[in-house]
Amino acid sequence: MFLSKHSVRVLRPLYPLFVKEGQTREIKRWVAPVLKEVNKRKKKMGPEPERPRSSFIEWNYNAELFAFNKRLKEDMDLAKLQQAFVHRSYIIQEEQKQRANGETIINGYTEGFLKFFLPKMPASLVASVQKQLTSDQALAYLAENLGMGDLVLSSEFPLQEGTLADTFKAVVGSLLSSSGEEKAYTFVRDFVCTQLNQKDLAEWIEIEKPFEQLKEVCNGINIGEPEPRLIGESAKNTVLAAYNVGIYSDKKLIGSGFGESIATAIDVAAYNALRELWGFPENMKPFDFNIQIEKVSKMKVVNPS
Amino acid sequence: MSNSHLFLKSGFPKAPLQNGLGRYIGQLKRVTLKFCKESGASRGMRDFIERELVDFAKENPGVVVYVKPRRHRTPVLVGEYLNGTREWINCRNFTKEEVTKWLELMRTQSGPSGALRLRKMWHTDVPSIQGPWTPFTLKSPETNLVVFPSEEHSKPLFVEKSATEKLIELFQKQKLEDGDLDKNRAK
Repeated sequence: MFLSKHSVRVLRPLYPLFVKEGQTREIKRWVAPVLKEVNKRKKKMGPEPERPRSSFIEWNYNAELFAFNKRLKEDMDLAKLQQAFVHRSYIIQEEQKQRANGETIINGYTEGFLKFFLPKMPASLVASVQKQLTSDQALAYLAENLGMGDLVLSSEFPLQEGTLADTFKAVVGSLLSSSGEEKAYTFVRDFVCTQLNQKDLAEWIEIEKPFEQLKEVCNGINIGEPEPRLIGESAKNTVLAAYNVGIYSDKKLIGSGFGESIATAIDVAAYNALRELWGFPENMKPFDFNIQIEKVSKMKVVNPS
Repeated sequence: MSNSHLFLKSGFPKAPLQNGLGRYIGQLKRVTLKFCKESGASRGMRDFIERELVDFAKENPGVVVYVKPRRHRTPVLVGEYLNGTREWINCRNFTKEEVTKWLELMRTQSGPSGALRLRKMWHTDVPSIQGPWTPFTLKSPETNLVVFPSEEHSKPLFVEKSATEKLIELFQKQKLEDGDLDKNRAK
C-alpha cells in the first residue's frame, strides 16, 4: 500500500483515533483509502504557495528586530534599522491598504447617514449626493482645513487635490486600525457629514423632465395623477412675464413654482413637488449631527448598496 | 469705518469647517514666541516663558509651541491657523499678563480677526424658512377670476367721508335722539 511520507506525518497525531480501546493494535482498513484520497487532492491542488514568515501568527516584528541587532552583536538604533528593511513596494502596498479601508468607512457611513435622513429619496439621487459629499475636492478641502497639508511627506508641492483627498482617506484608515470602527465612523460624521449643514441639496441633484418623473412617482405611491394649474400670472406678454403654476393631485396642492413661461413654471413646480415627496423640501429640517453611530450603521446593514 | 480701513477685507462671522457642529477643533495650530534674552522689551515675554508657557503647552496639546531666542530684536508672537493664515503680533514692552491675553485671543479665534471688518455681527445662510415674498404670496384666489377693469377693485382701500356725508350722519343721529325724547314725553 502506498502512503506518502508526508501524509503519515500529518496523521500521526491522530493515530490513537485509528485504534480503539479493547481492539487489536492494527491500522484500520479505512485509513489507507482516506490518506490516498487526501494525497490525491493535495496533488491536484498543486504545491502550496510559499508564504513569508511574517504572515505567521507567531511573529513579532519588534522582537525580531531586537534579536537581529543583538545576534550580530551590534547596537543599532531600532527605528533606523527598521527603515533599512522598508522598501518602496511595501510602502505603496500599505498605503493602498489604508486608503482603501478609509474609503470604505467614508463611503459606508455617508451612505448610511443619507439613507437614514432621506429615506424617501431614490437610491440614484442619494448616490449622487454622496458622490459630491465625498468627492476629491470636498475631501481635499477637509484635509487642508484640518491641517493635514503640513504633515504630508510628498515630493510634490503645492499638494494636488488628489493627494490631499487620499491623505484624508488614509487618515480615516489609520484611525480604523488604531482606534476601531466606532471612532472612525464618528470622525466621518463629525467632519464629512457636517458639510451637509445648511447645504441646499438641490444644488447637487439634477432631475431631467421633472413632470414626467413626478407622474411616475405619483403612480408609485398611489396618489392621483398630477395636474398643473395656473394659479397666478403677472406682466403677461412682456419681457418681465411671471407665471405661478401649482401642481394638484387629488385636488390637493403638492407643489408650486414660478417661471417666465408656463412650461418652465410647470417644470419648476414639478421639481418642487418632487422635493416635497422625496423629503428634501426647501425648508427642510436640519440634519442631526449628534446622531448615534449605531443607528446609522444599522441602516447600512439593512440597505446594502 | 475710517480711511485706514478702506482696503480692509470685509466679511461675516463664520465657523470654519462647521466647527463645533460635530466636535470643536481649536483653530490655532502653531505659535512661535520670539524674544531676546537680554533686552528690556522682552522682559514680559521672558517672564511668560518662565512661568506660564509650560502650563499653556500642557493645557493645549493641539498647539505646537516654538520658542525662538534672538539677539536684540523686538519680542513677537506669531500664530498660524488651520485655514492657512498667519498672525504677527508685536509684543514690545508687553507685560506677562498682556502676553497671556494675546495668546489667549490667538488660541480661541479662527484666524487673524483684526484683518477682517465684520459687516454684521451675525450671519445665516437661510434668511427665511418661508422663502422670499412674491406678489403671489398670500394672494386671495378670488382675484384670479376677476375681470379687469373692475369697479370694486379700482376703488381706493380707504376713502375719507365728505363733509356732506358727515352732516347727514349727524342729522340722522339727532333725529333718532329726538324721536326717543318724543316717545318719553308721550309716556
